[in-house]
Amino acid sequence: MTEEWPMRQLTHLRTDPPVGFAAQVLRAVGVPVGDDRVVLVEGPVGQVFVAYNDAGICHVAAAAVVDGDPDRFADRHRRRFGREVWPANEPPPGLLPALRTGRGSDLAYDLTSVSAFARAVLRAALLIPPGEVRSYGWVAREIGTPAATRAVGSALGRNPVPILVPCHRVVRSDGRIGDYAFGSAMKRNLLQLEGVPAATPQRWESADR
Amino acid sequence: MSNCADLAGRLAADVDGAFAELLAAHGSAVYTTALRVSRQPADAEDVAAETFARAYAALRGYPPERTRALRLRPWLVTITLNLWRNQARAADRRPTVVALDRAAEPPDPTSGPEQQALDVDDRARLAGLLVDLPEPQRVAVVLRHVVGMTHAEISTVMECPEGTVKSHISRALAALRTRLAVPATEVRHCKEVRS
Repeated sequence: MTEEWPMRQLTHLRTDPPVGFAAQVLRAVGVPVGDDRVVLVEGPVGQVFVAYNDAGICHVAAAAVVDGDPDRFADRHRRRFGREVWPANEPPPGLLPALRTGRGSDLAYDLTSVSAFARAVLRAALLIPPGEVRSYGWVAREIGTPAATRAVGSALGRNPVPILVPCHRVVRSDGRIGDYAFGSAMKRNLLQLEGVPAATPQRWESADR
Repeated sequence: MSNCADLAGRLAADVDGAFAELLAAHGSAVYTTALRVSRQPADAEDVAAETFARAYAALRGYPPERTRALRLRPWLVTITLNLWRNQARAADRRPTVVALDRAAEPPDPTSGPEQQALDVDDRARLAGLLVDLPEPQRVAVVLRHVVGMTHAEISTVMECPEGTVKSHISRALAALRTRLAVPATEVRHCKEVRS
């Protein structure tokens, strides 16, 4: 039993406020917030809603999770960001090629809704090319906080722009697939489409080193 | 927090424009403080929301040079602790005995179901031990090891010298080690072997 104990366990008690907390506060204090625009486009595993503003893409949701209903997406968006979202005629530049190739690293993102730590986690996830996977521990090491695997998992779980920022390419180091905002099945489909063989712990392990 | 000074500068220039950024940068520190010092974690969200409402009202009224000079995290956490103390005092005056209310621990997405159950239990247990510590020890250890603040920041928040902060923290850790060591050694041993 080291002197470290229970310091590391204590760091695991750090907790983010519930999703939508910031939006609720902004509404309560009356800070005016701009509106966002949204498009419904074809993604790798079905259609996706993509919301964006002048700073960049801020919100992605699989159409399936809101039954393809733009109003339900708008509700979800309002709850999470406190902003209205209006239909746009044009997708933001670069979106369609990024969805086609699985490379979202050149797109502009508005990630002001998440903490600096979560932004670092998402930026690290953007480094994982299609067809490859990494472990939560890899991401933690990549951003210089090797002990923070739990916080990494939680930041990826709250990724506001999944699919484009490929949190699905982060899996458990024991080879199991791990959680996904749109369900483990969609995570598995995405990885299979990208050419990652299903349930190949060895391969995922080796990506970890 | 390298961009902290910049954020204070941006708030000084435009509160409305930078307030969302303040929420993103320090929402977790404020919410964690409210959640982990309190015997009523269910109130944490209200305390955290009220913290930012007070902060917003203050920032609207401050001249820019005062906002620019703020050390945002200790400033916000001080507001949180004041609100929590007022609320705890009000709760004490209520006639009924309020049961210790433990919020459900969110599961860890990086681990499997069995490990999650264990982790959630461990965290609930540790959170439970924290609230049994005397207030200054609890506040100091939560701010240092859960929120991740520096000794200097905590000394500002608690209005006491850094030496006192450090001694609160080491006494808190010693108390946690003693209380955790008794029945938890076996559990912990199993965990180490497994991982």
